Amino acid sequence: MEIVTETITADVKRSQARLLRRMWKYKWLYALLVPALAWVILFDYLPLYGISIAFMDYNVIQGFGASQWVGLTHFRELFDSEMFRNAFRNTLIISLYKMISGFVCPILLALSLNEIQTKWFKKSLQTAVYLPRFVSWVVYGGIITLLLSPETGVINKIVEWFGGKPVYLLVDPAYFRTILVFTDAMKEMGWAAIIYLAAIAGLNPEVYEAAVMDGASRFRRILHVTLPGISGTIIVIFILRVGYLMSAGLDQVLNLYNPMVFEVGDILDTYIYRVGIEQFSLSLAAAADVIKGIIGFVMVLIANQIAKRINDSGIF
Amino acid sequence: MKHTRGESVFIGANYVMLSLITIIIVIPFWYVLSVSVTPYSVFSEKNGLVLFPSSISFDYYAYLLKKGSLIYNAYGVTLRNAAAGILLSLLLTATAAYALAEKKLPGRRFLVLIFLFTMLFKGGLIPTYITIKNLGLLNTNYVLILVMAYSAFNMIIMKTFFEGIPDSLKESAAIDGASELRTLRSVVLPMSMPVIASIGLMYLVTYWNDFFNALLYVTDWHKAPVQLVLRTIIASSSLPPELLEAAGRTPPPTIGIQMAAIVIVALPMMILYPFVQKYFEQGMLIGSVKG
Repeated sequence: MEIVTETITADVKRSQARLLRRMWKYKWLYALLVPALAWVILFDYLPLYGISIAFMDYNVIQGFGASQWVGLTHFRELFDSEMFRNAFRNTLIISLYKMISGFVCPILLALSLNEIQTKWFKKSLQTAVYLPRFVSWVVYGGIITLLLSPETGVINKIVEWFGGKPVYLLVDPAYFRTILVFTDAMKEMGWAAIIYLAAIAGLNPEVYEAAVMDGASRFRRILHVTLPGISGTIIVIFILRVGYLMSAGLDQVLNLYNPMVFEVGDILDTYIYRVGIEQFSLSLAAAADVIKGIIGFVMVLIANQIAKRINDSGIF
Repeated sequence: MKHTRGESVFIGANYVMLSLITIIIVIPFWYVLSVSVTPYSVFSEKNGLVLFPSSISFDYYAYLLKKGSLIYNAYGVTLRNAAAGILLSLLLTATAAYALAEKKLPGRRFLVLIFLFTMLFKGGLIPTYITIKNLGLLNTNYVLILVMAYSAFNMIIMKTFFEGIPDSLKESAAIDGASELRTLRSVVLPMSMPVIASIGLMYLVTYWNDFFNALLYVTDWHKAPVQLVLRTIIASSSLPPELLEAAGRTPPPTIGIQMAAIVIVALPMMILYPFVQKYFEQGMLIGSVKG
């Protein structure tokens, strides 16, 4: 236990020695931290230093030393760029849409799964809806592209069957965001429902029994017992999702979009990738990274503070 | 239990709705599988609507998995990355989590802050890319193994688990004269197999499904994992010459090839996960309780 120093004039040296002795006792634990610490320094903290290229005209060949500092030039250039503003706007819009669908769908799915009494049926449904979570967006994007293509896509075959005209959905700006939100929900909602299912399973069965005694119908039980019971979980999950506002789904968009839908589908992440890696304007793209990072940072802090206040369970 | 009329309608509607959702989610996968084994003649005869192919052929698979083909090679790369990656990531994650779970460790709060700060603020895509480049890791065999080897989120899950192990167990080992390392090996690790399995599987899925890191850091086709090769096959309108060559000079009907490639890449995880679903759910729940 803590050793309390009785007198104010305690010998500083002695307490230092004590701290060292205490640390020496844990020397193996410190040693255990070294591998992960090395990783964090190399791949998390060095990139923080790399941010400085956003304020330089970074010279790829000669590196940091030979690069000119240019202050906020790149940030000004970004704010003047229609393409950046477009990507910024799309990020917020797509993220908000997904936040709503990604919030509502899993809850409904969990409530509805919870009403299934046949055990094997419930289990099979769960396994089936988790499935898309385990494939990459390369795979899922490929499947969606196949389903939506005008020549071979099933969706268009069905449209033609009913006498409609085939549409190339993935290059049509009118449909692109809807496709993003819908396919995101299809891929993620099963997995996201797990937390709610667990929260429901943790509710007190006596409350249900009391509700049955009172003659509450199934629907009323969901409305008045289950939903209020898991409201804490719902709020926390929603707030944590707000922290990811600036990430609208890089993997998904990168595997589904094309120049025809940049206007509605280009997001900050894809913009940064294109400008930085494909066009090699590293400094300009890094400036966009900085803007994204700062806003994301603020959002996570706000979200976490609110979560703490409501439920005493923030991450940090 | 007897149901009222209204309740029966409710239950029935619920069954129907859930079955519909499940069908919408599962059918695309079935369709892909079905197209991938349908000979092109049947595919075009049926106008692309083949839910139950009348004849089956594995030509596309044979063609893609020919020894020495790009996807064959990429499979080896992915398997190697995943195997080495899981070992390395479990090592990094478990050691850090174990040390940080010790509440009496002097300087613990500061150390935790160091480990978690970058969850809040990241360098971002380009600064990370520059760092990897300056470290000389670009386009090496181990860049993908390294960059995905640690996740703060998984570390928190493990740390939460370790914190739940009663101190008395560790103390009694210490009284018996066991060192920290010995305690970790003979007391803590055996108890922690479920969480290690969960985290290991999560890393496996990460390594298997990653394509973006590969897109950024790997340009040599011989070092490319399956997802990157698949992406190129799907976007086959702009096949690189090496890939065309690896696939044979005259490309056959591409839709079947694309679908077979999707199956080849996605199948291992899809077969695996129902058996290990339990571990995934566990990991997810430990993680969500804490954060």
